Amino acid sequence: MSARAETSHHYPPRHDVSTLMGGVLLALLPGIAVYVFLTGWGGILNIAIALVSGMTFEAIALQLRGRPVLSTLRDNSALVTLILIAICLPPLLPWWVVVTATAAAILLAKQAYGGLGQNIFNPAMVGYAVVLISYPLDVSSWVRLPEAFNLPFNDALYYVLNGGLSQSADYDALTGATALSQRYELAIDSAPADDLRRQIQGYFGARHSEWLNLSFLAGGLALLAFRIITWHLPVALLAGVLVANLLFGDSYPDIAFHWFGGATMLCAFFIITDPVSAPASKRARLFYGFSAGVLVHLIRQYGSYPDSIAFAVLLLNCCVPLIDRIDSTARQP
Amino acid sequence: MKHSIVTGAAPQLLQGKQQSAPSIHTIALPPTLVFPAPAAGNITELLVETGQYVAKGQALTHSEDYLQPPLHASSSGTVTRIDSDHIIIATDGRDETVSGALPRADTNHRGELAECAHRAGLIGHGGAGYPLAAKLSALHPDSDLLLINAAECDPSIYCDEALITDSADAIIRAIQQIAAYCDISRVCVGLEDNKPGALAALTGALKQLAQTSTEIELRVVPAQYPSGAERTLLKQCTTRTPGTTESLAANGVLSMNIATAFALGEALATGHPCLERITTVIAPDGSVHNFRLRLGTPIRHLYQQLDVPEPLEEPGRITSGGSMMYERITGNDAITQTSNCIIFEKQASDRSPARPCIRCGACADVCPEQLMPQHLHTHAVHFNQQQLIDHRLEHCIKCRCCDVVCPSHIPLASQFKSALTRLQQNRASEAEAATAQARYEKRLQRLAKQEVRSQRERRKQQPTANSQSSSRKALIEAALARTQQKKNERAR
Repeated sequence: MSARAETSHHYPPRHDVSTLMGGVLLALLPGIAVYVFLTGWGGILNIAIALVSGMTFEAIALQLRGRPVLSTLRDNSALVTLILIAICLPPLLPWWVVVTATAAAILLAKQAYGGLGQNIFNPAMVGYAVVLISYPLDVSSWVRLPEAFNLPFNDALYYVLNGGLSQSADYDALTGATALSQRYELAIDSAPADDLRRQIQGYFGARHSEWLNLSFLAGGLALLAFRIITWHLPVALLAGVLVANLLFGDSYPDIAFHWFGGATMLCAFFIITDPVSAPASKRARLFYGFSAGVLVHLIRQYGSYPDSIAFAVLLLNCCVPLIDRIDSTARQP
Repeated sequence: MKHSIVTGAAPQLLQGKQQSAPSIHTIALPPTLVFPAPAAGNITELLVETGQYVAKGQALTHSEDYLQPPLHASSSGTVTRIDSDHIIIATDGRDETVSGALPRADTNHRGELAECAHRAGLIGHGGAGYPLAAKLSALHPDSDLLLINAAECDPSIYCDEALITDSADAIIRAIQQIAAYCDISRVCVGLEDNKPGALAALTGALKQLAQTSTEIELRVVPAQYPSGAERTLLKQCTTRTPGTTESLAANGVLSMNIATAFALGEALATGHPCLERITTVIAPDGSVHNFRLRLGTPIRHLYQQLDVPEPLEEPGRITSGGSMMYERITGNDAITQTSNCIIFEKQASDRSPARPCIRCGACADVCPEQLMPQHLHTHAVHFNQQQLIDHRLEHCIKCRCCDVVCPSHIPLASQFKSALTRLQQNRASEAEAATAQARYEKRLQRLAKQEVRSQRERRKQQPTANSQSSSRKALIEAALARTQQKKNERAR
């Protein structure tokens, strides 16, 4: 059957996959801006390497699979995945770490499963998880943030190409831990001493990453306003984190720290909302988002990784076929 | 309007409905009339042969099966050709009516109404074309609601509105008659809110009725596609929400398109079969017309009437059924009772190719039957029959709302349509296989029985000698016993 002749052409569709994905990219812009502001050249290099390598992988894979290359690249879905990977990663990473992440995301998680629409795992999270496990030290440490922005381009480029600073540079111990990993490493408990608390607490959320989270929240609200996503997944995820914090959490860190720390808002509005790897019905999506939220909190609280977005999302991705099945069985009269 | 649970596509689908319905025009009698020939293997009997003269209203086919209503010549002329697909009549322009009318339904009995509908060849005028007699005869005896569907089923159809404005009185009379025949006391007429002219006409006609036993309610429903779908309309007009698997008839609701009701009323009043209908025709320049057309009018004749410069021969430019629930037809096809709207397009449509489904769920949001088109799509592509049934493929009304919202431009509705056809074919062949199996088993049983019977007969013939000799032995023994007894008595 020919697609062209048979759809309801009297009323052309309002949306289009490429415009939807383009909308997601636009909504990511504030987040990208804050990321670049916090990370300087390191962040820009991350994004550039991720885009170039990822788009190349996508084009090669499409060519090998005998699919139309240019028109498929134009669906913008690979762009979204690659930007998400780049802004999850800390700045000043050796280039091979970023390339490993994009290869895992595009080749393994997306194209090996049959391309857009067929991937059962969120490609960006697969890419991130692969490098988090393969290069735990590089990926879990962030450049100390005030210094990061001022790092000259040449030094950043040298670091990225060689995996270390040049001899002449005198930035020793340039990288440090994020608020969440500091909390984990220093075993900060419910009543931290003031100096410890100052190290991780920001104005309202986690230090530094609160601004990233705030910008993702802004972009996410725009997605909601333009009806590119529905409220179900973000609200369910944030509610899951909240409920888990009430049940299992301590008096510190509080819910604001959890919501505006790590990658919570990015996950709520941009990662868990990937429709391909989410369940189909609204009811199932509420369950899925809520479970992911609970899991995010539990892994932060009891797991051996400081942040947990990737693992929580991937674990829930595994359950989606089952959730869908139970949901549609329950739906039958 | 209280029950706004209906989803359905967005109001922008109604852009076309800014104007009121154009008035009805009658066009010149076409030189030929084309009727579909009964399919091979069908029990419908063909009553005419090539070269035969037929009068207006004369039956072309005959069948006692209510699912196969007869066809009638819609004007007088000569049958010029009968092939496997078509019966073609060349009209003579005299339009001579056949003598003798349909049997009149005298007593108020719904069996007679069904018989009348069958003889008049009536099928639903709304678009789905279900035979009316079959619907009436299958009606639940305790039915208590007659739902008259005056909500046009598609945003670009104006024929029902035109009909209401034109003959509101006759419609109300028809509705009353039908309700009386079916012994239904409550009648609900669902009308979309963008048809003020039709509403005024119906209200006026209702006011003229002084005293009636049936109560006719006019319900104005929001003009949101697909409110013309009968389940959707029922939900909007009443508090009833039929279960997703139940038919409306099983719920005690007789649902009928308003044009069907009018045609049935005409058949009752005049005793003539249904020979014409009102069809909305949209010309390539976008102008909208309402034509009163004889059934069997070739589409080709229509665009000659529209002054279309060149024939629209290339495929994919003529559709029947409206801008949403359309099917593609060609100039060789003809007007049938289901032809509610014929659209001639300016040029063949050009759409970007489909991308893979991203499971965004936009289709599920607009589905008026609360289906999950994204699942149906996956299962239709791989044709998982059981999954398709479980996800209620058979409830799809092919409204194409999902097509309109799909960001991947997937032709969902037509996928579902072909999956449904395949499903029905499989069911039919399964049923056939089951019948064959049953027949075969019966035959085996019959053969076994015959075998047993013939064996028994053979056995009977053999042991007759034995049984005779044994009975003789018994007689001898009895005689001996008697003599022995007498001996004993004497001895005593």
